[in-house]
Amino acid sequence: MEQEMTGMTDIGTLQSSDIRALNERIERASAFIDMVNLEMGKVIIGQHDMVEKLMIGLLANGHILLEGVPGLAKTLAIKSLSETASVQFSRIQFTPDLLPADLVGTMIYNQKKEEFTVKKGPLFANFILADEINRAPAKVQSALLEAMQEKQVTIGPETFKLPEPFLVLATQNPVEQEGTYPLPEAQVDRFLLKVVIGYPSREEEKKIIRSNIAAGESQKPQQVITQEDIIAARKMVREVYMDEKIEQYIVDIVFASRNPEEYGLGHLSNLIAFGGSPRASIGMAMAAKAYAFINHRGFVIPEDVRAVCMDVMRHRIGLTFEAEAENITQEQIITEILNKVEVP
Amino acid sequence: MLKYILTSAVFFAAFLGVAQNAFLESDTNRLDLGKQTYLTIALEYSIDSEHRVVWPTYNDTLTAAIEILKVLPTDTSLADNGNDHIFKISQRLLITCFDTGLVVIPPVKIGFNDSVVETNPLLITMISPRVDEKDNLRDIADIREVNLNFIDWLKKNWMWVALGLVILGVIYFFYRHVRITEMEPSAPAAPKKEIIPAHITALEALKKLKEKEKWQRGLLKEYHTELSDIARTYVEDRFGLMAHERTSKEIINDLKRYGISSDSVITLSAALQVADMAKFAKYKPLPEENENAWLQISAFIEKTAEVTQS
Repeated sequence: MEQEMTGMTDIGTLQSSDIRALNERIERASAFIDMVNLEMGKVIIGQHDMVEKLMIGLLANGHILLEGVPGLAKTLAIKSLSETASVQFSRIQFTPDLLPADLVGTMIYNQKKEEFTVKKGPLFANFILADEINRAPAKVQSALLEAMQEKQVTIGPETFKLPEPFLVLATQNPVEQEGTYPLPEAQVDRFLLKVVIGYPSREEEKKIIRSNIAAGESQKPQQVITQEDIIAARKMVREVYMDEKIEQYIVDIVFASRNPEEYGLGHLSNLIAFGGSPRASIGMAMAAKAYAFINHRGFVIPEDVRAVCMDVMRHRIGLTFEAEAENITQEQIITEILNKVEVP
Repeated sequence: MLKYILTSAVFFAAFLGVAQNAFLESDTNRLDLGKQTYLTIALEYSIDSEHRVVWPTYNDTLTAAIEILKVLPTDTSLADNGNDHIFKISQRLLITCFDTGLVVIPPVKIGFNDSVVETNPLLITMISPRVDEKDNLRDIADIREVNLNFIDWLKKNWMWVALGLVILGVIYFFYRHVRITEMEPSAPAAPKKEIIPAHITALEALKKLKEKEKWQRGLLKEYHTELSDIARTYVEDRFGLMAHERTSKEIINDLKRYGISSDSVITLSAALQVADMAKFAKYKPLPEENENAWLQISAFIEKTAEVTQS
């Protein structure tokens, strides 16, 4: 698989035959996605959207902000994903008294050697679950977000690269807002996706009960991919062909969030304080490519853009006081934009 | 001689004194507490001499105890003694007082040429009301009815009158407007815009696309873009779906709700799929595929148009 994935293609000069070949390569290379889904399905019942978004984050090299009430298998999902790839996983519960050193690590004096030695923090893992990120003060949040951005941390005089792949799944509880430190817009922007997860369906919930009270040992996901596979797949995702028409579509969506009146959405002007940043455009393009890869396609179609648009954009649109007073959400604004911007 | 001079001086002095005589008098010098009376301020002077009178002005009180209720304009007339060389300027003030006992009105100063002439002071006795101790206590007096004239009523109710006039004006305006409209000959009706059925427009567009021979000239992406646009416009006009803002998959899913035969939906789906491949995946369909896509969309339009007309 690796041999097939490493072949780089110049996207600008792709020919029809190249695309066909690329499509075939991606079809083969993305086969592991089905295996991962199968293993994840052993322990996670329902929540297909969350699992799919985890895969997008992993393949697009982005981080995910997850919002949902407790008990929706957030921890289990990322833990299971780490088990399918046999990578290091660490869970950090964010609390108001957490310090940056508790995350990144610190220098400890070794009396025997009479020198300071580095003790790495829990951030040195492949998959991180930052539980209830908004419970910790700004300095801790920024330490994590800096590590997410730079993929490296500095402890004392030394700078350490974080392991590859590095995926952060941060969670926020939308219910209890008392005593929390909401993430500033600039920091929220660093998350590729903000996924809002809901409750499972009745049937799914029945299955959850059955699987949890059943006698015998519960099933565990098996390792089906390696870290190298993930890194190679990430390279492959970048090769997924994106036509100029799709680029234009992404730009139109992001621009409609900035200047809605230019797209016949003048009534949204006083509801949007600020629209998507260029990071939103980049994120949407990368996420759409990853989505196409997951669907075993070597090229992006408008469906891919629309599938990831909500999660890429919802945390990047600022609402005005008027919008909040009228209980208008980012989701409603994005839906209106998608219903207005012409599909290529 | 000296006796003559002294007699003349006395005579002239007396004459001059009459010419600048100011006085103050009241209609009564005994007044019940709170009652009103007129006060007259007057100046008599000779018309033979130069006269430049500066009349005093008043605010709402004459003294601390006496209130001025009304100031009448000054009046000029001949003196009361009938001397046609003596003029009199007088002014009447309506006053009242709420103090009891003797109230002093000080002399009023009137400017005359370069000097000041003062009137006599005046004493008015204010009498407090007599309390009948023998009688029983009585209730307070009723509110006294005041006869209002039309102006008084109008001052009080002008807003209602104005509102009534506005309403009448509006009714009159509409009445006139309706009458004018009824009298005017009705404007000729605008020619009805001919509504061309969606399938006719779409089939014509397909015909034009074929004539352009785009795919034959290698413009495959442009050909399939225009072809899918024709299909989208038709779906939008025919079914009211916002097809231009929907993806191919969404259009197909939405169309299934309209009771269209699955064959037609599959036909359209196949054409849109090829178009999407040509548009987004640099796919170069074969000549037969290009022809097929055109035929499939044409068939879809014809089949779904039949449904509407039957």
